[in-house]
Amino acid sequence: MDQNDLPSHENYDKDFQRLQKFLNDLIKEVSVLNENTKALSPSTLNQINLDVDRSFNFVTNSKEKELLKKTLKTTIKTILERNPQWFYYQGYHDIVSFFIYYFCYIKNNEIHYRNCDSNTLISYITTFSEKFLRDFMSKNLNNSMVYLKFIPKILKKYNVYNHNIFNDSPFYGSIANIITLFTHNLNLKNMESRLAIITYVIRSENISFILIFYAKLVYHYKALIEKRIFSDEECETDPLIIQTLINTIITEELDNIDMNTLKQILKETLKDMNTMRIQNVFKYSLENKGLLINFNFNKEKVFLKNTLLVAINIVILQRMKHDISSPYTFAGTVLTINNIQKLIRYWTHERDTK
Amino acid sequence: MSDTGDNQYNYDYDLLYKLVLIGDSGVGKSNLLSRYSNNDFQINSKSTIGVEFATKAVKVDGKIIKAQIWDTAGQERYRAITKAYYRGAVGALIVYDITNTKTYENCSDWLNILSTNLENNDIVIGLIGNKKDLQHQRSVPIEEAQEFARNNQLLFTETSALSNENVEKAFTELITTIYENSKHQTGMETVTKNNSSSIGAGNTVSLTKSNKEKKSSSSGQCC
Repeated sequence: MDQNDLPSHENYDKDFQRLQKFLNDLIKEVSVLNENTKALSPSTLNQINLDVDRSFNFVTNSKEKELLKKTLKTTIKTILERNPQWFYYQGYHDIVSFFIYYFCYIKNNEIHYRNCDSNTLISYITTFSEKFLRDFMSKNLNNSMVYLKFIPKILKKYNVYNHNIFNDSPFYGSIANIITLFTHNLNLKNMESRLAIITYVIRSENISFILIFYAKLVYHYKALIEKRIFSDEECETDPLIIQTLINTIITEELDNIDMNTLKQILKETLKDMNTMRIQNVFKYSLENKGLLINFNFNKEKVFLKNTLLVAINIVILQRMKHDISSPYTFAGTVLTINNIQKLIRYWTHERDTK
Repeated sequence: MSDTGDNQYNYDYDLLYKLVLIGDSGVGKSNLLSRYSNNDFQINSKSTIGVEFATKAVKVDGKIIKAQIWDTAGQERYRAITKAYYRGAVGALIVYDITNTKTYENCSDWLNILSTNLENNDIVIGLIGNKKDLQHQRSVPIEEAQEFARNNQLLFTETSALSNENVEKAFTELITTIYENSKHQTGMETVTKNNSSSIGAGNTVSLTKSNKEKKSSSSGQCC
């Protein structure tokens, strides 16, 4: 793909092929055809118009820009009209712009589709929205706020900025990057990195991926953040400013990141997501707000430790059953009593917490 | 009042004023801020999601005042977040688009939102009619907006971020008024460099006043 201008040809590279493969798998899982449409409210239409008008700013050719904007508007409208349970939010247009950039090209002043047709593209975006964005598309910001509240917990998990300033207050400063999955402020320079991020989001099959990725970036740029924000003796203490500055730093750095480094971070994020075991709480979207609010990484650790102890216990008990004088008998008995006590304490604590 | 020429985020100041820019989506808040803080105008600006901020240091009465200006998203669904940023604000600019009546009509709502979300009612508020360069598309008469500002004791300016008309004036007026008021009264949340609270609010708007009181007041700073 020509990095200096819009893609004007039908060709597509390996990374794009991978994205499309994931999307093809995704649309098999969900039926997105809904012909029962509902007209959008005038205020929603007005907001869409305002945001579409401010999209594809990186396209220099005005005719091409208008064509892309027109396609963007039609696509957003079609998806929302067919899914009246979803509410438009500023930032949704950024994600749809990303898909249009990759799946459309302009030839002879007309929009063409790369390896798909307009209906398939609508299916891709609808399924992607259904799987990963539906929490952000609810009537209000309540669900999105739960996401933002969870970021400090992950930062704590990574042992970055265990400052009191973060506490458990929502990480408001991250909202633009979280709810647009880093597609806010798209340009030709950062398009490749956004392709990698979106592909990994789909691959993760879990929206918590984006939260962990955000925290991972903060961790990755820790030294830089320390230098720019926390080095001065009279450094800023307002959490809202610090959040915004951190977000600015990681957004700027992400625009200039080396692709190999980015891919490594994404790979590690996926690995971390699996070890953090929060994907069961999130699944595609946030399935149970209560579970997330009460989620405690240490609780998971205690549970894992207990499970391991019980497993060792069972092995020892199996060995001791035929020989009462065996050292396994003593070890097994002590372990069993110890484990039973621990499990009772754990379950009592669980019950009290609930 | 003069610009110290330092737009970077720095800690070299005597007073810190937190200001918020509010108003409907698409009225030009972000461009007003970039014009004021960087003398920059983006014809292709992007929508603001959540909040963004910029700072500008200015000199008033020999003191360096750092204006920390928060630019907020206009879409209603983001209000849950943007109102968190009103805390500690000593000044606000409510922006509307002179070519879009609806954005002007919603200014009363923005005033109410401010009044219900501020812990301290001593705040200087300015009403800004932006996109003044689009005179041929004007749909909000200046007299009507002036009257609204007068009745609600708001500062008032029409600006054009595109042509850079009155942008400096609007912010300067707001900052100077906050400073002047702070010399007369206590209780305002301006922050000095050593983090002690300084003085506040002479002729500032009391949003808890009844409409009747507001109308009868002759000490407004508008227009």
